[in-house]
Amino acid sequence: MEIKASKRQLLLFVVIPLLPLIVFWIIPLIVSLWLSFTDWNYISPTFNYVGIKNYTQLFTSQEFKQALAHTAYFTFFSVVPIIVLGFLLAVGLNKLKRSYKFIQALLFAPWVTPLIGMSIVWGWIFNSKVGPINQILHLLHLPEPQWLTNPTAAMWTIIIVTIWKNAGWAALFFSDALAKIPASLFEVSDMEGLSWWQKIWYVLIPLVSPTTLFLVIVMILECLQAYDQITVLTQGGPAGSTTTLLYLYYQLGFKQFQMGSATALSIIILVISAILAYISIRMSRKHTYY
Amino acid sequence: MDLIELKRINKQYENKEKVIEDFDLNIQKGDFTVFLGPSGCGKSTLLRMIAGLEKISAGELLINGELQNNLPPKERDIAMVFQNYALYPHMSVEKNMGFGLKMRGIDKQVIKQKVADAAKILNLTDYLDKFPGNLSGGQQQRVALGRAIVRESEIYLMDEPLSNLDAKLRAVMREEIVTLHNQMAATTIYVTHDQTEAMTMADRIVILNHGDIQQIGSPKEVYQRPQNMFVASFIGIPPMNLIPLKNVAGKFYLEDAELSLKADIDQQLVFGVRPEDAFVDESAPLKMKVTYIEDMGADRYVHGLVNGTKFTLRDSSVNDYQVDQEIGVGFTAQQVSFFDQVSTNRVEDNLWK
Amino acid sequence: MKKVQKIQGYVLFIILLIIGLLMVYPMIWMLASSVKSANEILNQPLQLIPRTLHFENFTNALKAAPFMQWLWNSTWTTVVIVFMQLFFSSLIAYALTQFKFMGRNVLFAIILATYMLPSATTYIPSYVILGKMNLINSLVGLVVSNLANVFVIFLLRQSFMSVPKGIIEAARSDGASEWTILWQIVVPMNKNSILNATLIGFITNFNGYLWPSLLLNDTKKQVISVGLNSFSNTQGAFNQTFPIIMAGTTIAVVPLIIVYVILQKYFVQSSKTSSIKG
Ligand SMILES: Nc1ncnc2c1ncn2[C@@H]1O[C@H](COP(=O)(O)OP(=O)(O)O)[C@@H](O)[C@H]1O
Ligand SMILES: [Mg+2]
Repeated sequence: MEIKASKRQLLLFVVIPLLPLIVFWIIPLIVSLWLSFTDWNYISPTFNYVGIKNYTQLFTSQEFKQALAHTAYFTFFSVVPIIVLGFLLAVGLNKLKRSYKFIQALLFAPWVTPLIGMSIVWGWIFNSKVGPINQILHLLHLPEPQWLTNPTAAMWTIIIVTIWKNAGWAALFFSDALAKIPASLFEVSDMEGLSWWQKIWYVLIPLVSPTTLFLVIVMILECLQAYDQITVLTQGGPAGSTTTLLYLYYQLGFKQFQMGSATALSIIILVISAILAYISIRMSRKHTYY
Repeated sequence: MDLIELKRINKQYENKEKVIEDFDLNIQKGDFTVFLGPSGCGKSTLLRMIAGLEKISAGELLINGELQNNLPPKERDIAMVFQNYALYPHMSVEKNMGFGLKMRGIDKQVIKQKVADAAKILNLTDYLDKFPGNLSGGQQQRVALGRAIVRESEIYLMDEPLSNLDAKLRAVMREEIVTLHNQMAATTIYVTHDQTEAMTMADRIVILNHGDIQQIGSPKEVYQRPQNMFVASFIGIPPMNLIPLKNVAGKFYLEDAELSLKADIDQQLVFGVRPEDAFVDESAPLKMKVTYIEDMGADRYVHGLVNGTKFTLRDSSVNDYQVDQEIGVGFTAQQVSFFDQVSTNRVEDNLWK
Repeated sequence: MKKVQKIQGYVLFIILLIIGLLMVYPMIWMLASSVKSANEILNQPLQLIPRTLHFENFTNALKAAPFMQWLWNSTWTTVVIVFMQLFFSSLIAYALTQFKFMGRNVLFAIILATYMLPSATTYIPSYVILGKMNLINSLVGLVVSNLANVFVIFLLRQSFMSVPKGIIEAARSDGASEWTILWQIVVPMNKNSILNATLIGFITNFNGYLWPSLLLNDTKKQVISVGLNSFSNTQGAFNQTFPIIMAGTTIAVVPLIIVYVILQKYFVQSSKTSSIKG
C-alpha cells in the first residue's frame, strides 16, 4: 500500500530531487515556448512580443522549407534502411550458432563509440581523393562522387554514417523480439506448408511489428536530433544541402542569435516529436502480443 | 495394412546419446493411440519425427506404405496440436483456423464454411473474431483443435494438449477429444505423461521408458496384466504393491507364509498385487504395520510397511485402524502378478500349483 | 540434407562476419592510420596494415592539444552526472511508486509526456539560466544542468513498479525507514535496470557534443568530443596532418572501445532499454 508521505519525506524524496528537473527541464520547455513569441536577440536586454510572427516567418522562409525537406529526406532514407537492415541482420543472427554470437558485438560497436570521433574518421574515409571508398570505386572503374562537396552525395554521406551507427542497434531489438517467438509457431507454419518467404511475411513480420513500430519512432526521433555527424562532416553544407531542422535551430540560435526564431523552430521540432511519442505510446498499448 | 509403420527408428540429437533406439510400432487406421511415459522418455521426439519436425536418424517411417523419412511436414497430410497451442497471436480465431487451408490455396468460401463447421462443433462460433490473447486456456485449446480439424488430415498428432489446463477442464476436454476422434474416424496419436488421460482416452496405450516400449495394450490390459515391473509401478494410483519373495531351495515365501508356486528352483520372484485386490484379513499370515490412512470418502487407502517394504491396500469397511497398529493382509489369489526379479518381466501365467 | 544445412550455416556466418567487419572497419582503419606516416596513407590508401609504426603521431597529438585533460574532464563530469541522475531519479521514482502526495499524478504525467522530447528545445533557456548562475564556460555548469534526466526517472519508475508490494510492507512492519527501504531493498532488487541506466548514461554523456560545445569555450575546459572536433578543425583537412588527427581521434575513441570490450555483454543487454537518450 502506498503511504501518505510526511513533509520531511516529501522534501527529501520529491522536492529536492525535483529542483534540477524543474530548473533545467520543465522551466526551459515553458520558457522556450514563451521566447518563441518574442523577438529577443540575446544581446539586447529588451525584447518585444511579436505574436506568432516567428512561426509565420519560418513557415514562409525558404530556409525552413528546405530544412524541413532535408530532414524528411534524411529521416526517410536513414530509417528505412536501418529497419530493413536491422531486421535482416537479426534474422541472420538468430539462425547463427551460439559460438558465433560475437558478431553481435561487432554490429553493435558503432552505437558505443563517440559519433564525433567516428565522423572525423568517416570524413577521411569519404575523402574524395585519398579516402578508401573512392579508391575502391576507382579500382572497380565506378564513378567517384565528391562525397562531401556535392549536395546530393553529402546528404548520402550523412545518411550512410547514420545507418552505420544505428543498424546494429536496431538488429539487437529485432533479435530479441524474434527470440521471443515460440518455436512451435514456426513448426505450425511448417506443418501448414509455408515457404520461407511466407513465414517471413505472414508470421515473422506481423509478430515483430510492435518492435518495428517502436524502432521506427525512436529512429525518427534520433534523426530529428541528429547533429554530430552533420557538424563534423558538412556543417550543414554544401549550400545548406545538409541543413536539417535541428542544424538550422543551432544556426539561428547560436550563430545568428535570433532567439525568437530559434525557439519557435525548437518548438516545432518538439511538436513533431510529441506527436510521434504519442503515437508510439498509443500503439504500444494496442499491439503487444507477448 | 497398417496406416503408420515405424521400423527400427533411431534418434540421436546432435552430440548426444541415443534418445530412441530401434523403435518398432505399427498403428492401425482409426485407432486412438496414446504414448504414455515419464517426461524425458522420448514421447515428443517420436511424435515430432512422425510429423516431420525432427529428422529421423535411422530407420523407416511409412504412412500408407510409403516412405516418409525425407518428406517435409507439409507433404505428410498430418495435423498437429501443440502443448502450448501455438496459435498465431496476430490472427483472429477464424484466421488462425483457416490459415493452413489458405496457404494451400483453398477457395475462400470453402474455408469460411469449414471453419464455421469446426467452430460449431467446438462451441467457438461466438469467438471467431476474437484474438487468442483474449481467450481462456480452454478456448485457446479448442481453437488449436479446430485448426487441426479443418485440415481434415488423415492423422492427428497431439503433444500433451491438455497439460496447461486445470483439472476440471482437462476432464471435459478429454471427453471432447475422444468424441471428435470418433466423429471424424481419424487416426490419432496422443502423447501424455498423465495416466488418467491414457486410461480414459486410448484404444491402445504404448508405454515408454527411456525410449523403449515397455508394453502395448488396451487400458485394461496394461492395468490388469502389466508386462514388467516398470509398468506395474507406473500405472495405477496408487501403483501396484511389489514385494520380493524369498526363495529357500525352491520354496517361495511371502514373508513368513509359503506360497505354493510352480517355478524354477533358483528363480527369484517378485510378488505384485494392486491395492484394491488386497484387503484386511486378521487371520492372514502377512502382517502390515499401518503408517498412514488416506480417506477418500467412499473408501480409503491404508498405507503401511510390510517388513520395511511399503504396501497400500484399499479398504471400504467401517473398521477403525490406528497408526502403528499391526493388521493382517489378504489378497485374491487370481488377481496377483509375479515378476522375475532379474529381468523384471512378468512371469506367465498361472504360477499357482 | 544435413550437409546443405551446414553449408548454409557457414554462408550465413561469413555474410554476417563480413557485415560485422564492415561495421568496425572505421575503427580499425582509424587505429591503423594513427600509426602510419602521411606518405604511406596517401600512397597506399587501401593498405590496412602499417609497414612501419609511427608512434610519434601520438606524442605529436598530445603536444598539440590537451587530450588527457579533456579525457579527464569528460570522465569526471560523466561519472558525477550519471551518479547524481541515478541518485535523484531513484528518490523520485520511489516517491512516485510508494508515496501518496498531492500532484503525484501530475508529476508522472509531465514525465511521461516529456521523456521523448528533444532536449535541444531546452538549450536556449538553460543557457540563460546557467548564465544567471555564473556557470557558463564551466564544467560545473555542465554537471548542474544535467542533474535531472526525465528518461532515467521514467526507466526507474517502470522498474520500481515491479517490486512486490508485500516486500515493502514487510520492511515497513520491520520498522525500516523509507530511506532504508529504497537503498537497501528496492535499489538492490532493481540492479539490472540501474546497471542499464548507468551504461546508457555513461555512453550518452561521455559522447555528448552539442550541449557542451555551446557551454564550454576555453580549450582547457573542453570535454573530449568538443576538444577533439576543434582539434581536428584547427589541424585542417590537409593530407599531412592526417595521421596526427587519427592519433587524436584514437585517443578519444579508444577508452570507449576498451570499456566496451570489457563490458560488452552488459552493453548488448542494456542498449535495448534506451529508447531515448537525454
Ligand atoms: N532438441 C533437442 N536437442 C537435444 N536433446 C533433446 C532435444 N529435444 C529433446 N531432447 C532430449 O531427448 C530426450 C527425450 O525428450 P522428449 O522427446 O522431449 O521427451 P518427452 O516428450 O517424453 O518428455 C530428453 O532427454 C531430452 O533432453
Ligand atoms: Mg514432451
